[in-house]
Amino acid sequence: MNDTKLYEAAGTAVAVERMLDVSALLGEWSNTNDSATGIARLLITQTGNEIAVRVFGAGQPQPFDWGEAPVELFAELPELKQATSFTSFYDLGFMSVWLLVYLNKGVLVVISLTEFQDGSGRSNYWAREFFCSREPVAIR
Amino acid sequence: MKYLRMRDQVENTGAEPGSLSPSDLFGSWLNTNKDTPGITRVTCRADGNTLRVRFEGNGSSEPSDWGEVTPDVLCAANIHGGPAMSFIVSFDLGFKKVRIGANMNQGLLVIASYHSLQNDAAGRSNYFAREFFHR
Repeated sequence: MNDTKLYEAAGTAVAVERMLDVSALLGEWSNTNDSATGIARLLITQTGNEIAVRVFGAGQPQPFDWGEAPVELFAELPELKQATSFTSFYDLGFMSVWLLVYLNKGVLVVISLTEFQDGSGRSNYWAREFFCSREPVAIR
Repeated sequence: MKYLRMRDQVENTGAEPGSLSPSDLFGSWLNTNKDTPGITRVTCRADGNTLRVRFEGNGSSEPSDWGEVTPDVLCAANIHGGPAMSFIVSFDLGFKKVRIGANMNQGLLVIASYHSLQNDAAGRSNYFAREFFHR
């Protein structure tokens, strides 16, 4: 999708929204480590112009569903229109989590910075995890 | 104790709050690519117990001095605290806003920068860059 919406502001055309092609990011992504204790999987969806991420934290017997959060998309270069990275932020009450995400050779790299706000004594911490697409790969 | 990931469980709930020392980050960090069009130097210093971080660009595509800020979040490597090895900082440079995630990895400072262009008349995309810095 390459949809640049222009509108007139004080007589000058200004680009106010530049939708990037998100096809490389959409879908379900699973942690490459089956025994991960952090994020188990991610779902990246598009509804109209809205792109959202849904995180599932590792849990037993079921993963923890964090719900959806909006994302901000980024391309690899200013002149490109393919989204290959995004940021997102979860405010979950007792903790907040920044997600800094980028594609690298088909692997989705997810950096999370977690801040606890519940007085539990748990330190803020950083983690990096790797995810592969669960979409079938076309063989040529 | 609430958690939404298994690794966030703490067995010893009576633990003292994890201390977070930023001293491992202190110093001047130079881009390993001397010809970078982006960030050339990152300087981390202490202001009392607070980490202060200054970013500098090459003066052409990036401002030469982005200014000095306090990180939005400072992180250790795990929930038990200890040396800080990562942070997030945000800069508003007028024509763009930049959110940066930095982490130490094997003696290098790895900078992931997310650039949000503000009403860019040329229609350029927001973009991401990843660069590596040494002391």
